Amino acid sequence: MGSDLADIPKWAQRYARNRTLGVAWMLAVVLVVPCAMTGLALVCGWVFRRGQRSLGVAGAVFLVGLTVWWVWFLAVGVRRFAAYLSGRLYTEEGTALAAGGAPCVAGRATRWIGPLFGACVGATVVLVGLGSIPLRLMQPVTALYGVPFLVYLVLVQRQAASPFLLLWPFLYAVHAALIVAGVPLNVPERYAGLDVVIPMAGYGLLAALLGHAYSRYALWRLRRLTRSPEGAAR
Amino acid sequence: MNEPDPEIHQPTRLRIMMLLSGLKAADFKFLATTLGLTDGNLSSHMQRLETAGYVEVAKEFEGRLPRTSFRLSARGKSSLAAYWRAMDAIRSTRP
Repeated sequence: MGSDLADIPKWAQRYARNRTLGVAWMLAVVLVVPCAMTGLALVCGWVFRRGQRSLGVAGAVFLVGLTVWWVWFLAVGVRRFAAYLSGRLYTEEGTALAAGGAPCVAGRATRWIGPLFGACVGATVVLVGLGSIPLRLMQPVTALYGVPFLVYLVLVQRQAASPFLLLWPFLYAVHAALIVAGVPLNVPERYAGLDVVIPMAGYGLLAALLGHAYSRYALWRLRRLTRSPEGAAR
Repeated sequence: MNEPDPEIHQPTRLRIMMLLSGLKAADFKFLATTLGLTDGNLSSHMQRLETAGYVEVAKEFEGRLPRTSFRLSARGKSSLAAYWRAMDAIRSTRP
């Protein structure tokens, strides 16, 4: 087989697997919304304490609505949103779907993996609320189940997902290990929820952006390999 | 000795087949921009590959816009493998 031509499927696959800009944008939203909600909650409390109670209550009601929407988004809308973003962001390049994945295995496993992950999150929230888990250690505790969950999600789709996404759980685990070792990576206690959100979405965003950068290189290689005399003469 | 399949042996169609062999599916726009072909040129090549049964075509709507996707058929995969076997055989007989 001609060596240049033999490389076409490899680079096509690498390009398609690393079209992660949709994931990056989705994680940017996942990063920004909880930060905005935390900020809004602080402002509502401040306004309420200053005597403008109706404004504080209105803000709190808005915050409750935003929280309901957020839960729906994470449970239902997030996948559709990523697919929509991916389609929009790569409009100029067209659509290429990576082969592979293991949909039957993923389908069976997600029946119990998803609820199990949700139960772990719920248990963490309750235990932190009861004071059984110190706020400082909330991120390392979530890493105990979050890291295997993310590794599973990437590996189960290993033929279709960007390998760069494995950086996500790796960096999250390193972050957890550093906190346990006493490195001061925690945010102030009043923003404690962001201790989990910032590294979870931030490292995911970083991994997705690296995947996207690699997809640019893969597309450049692919175009060099696939330009036929007809295409080159265009 | 087997002759190389003329439907695949043409340089542009060979590149299309190789490109599709690395993917689950690709749409018309991706193929046209990646290969650097005009719509008309790509259409005629895809028509030939479809007629030969080497690619499967799926047409769907994204909102109001039609989108045509292609994937290599089982016959296309086996023909591509047979093509490279034929090419290897030709190369092995070269003095």
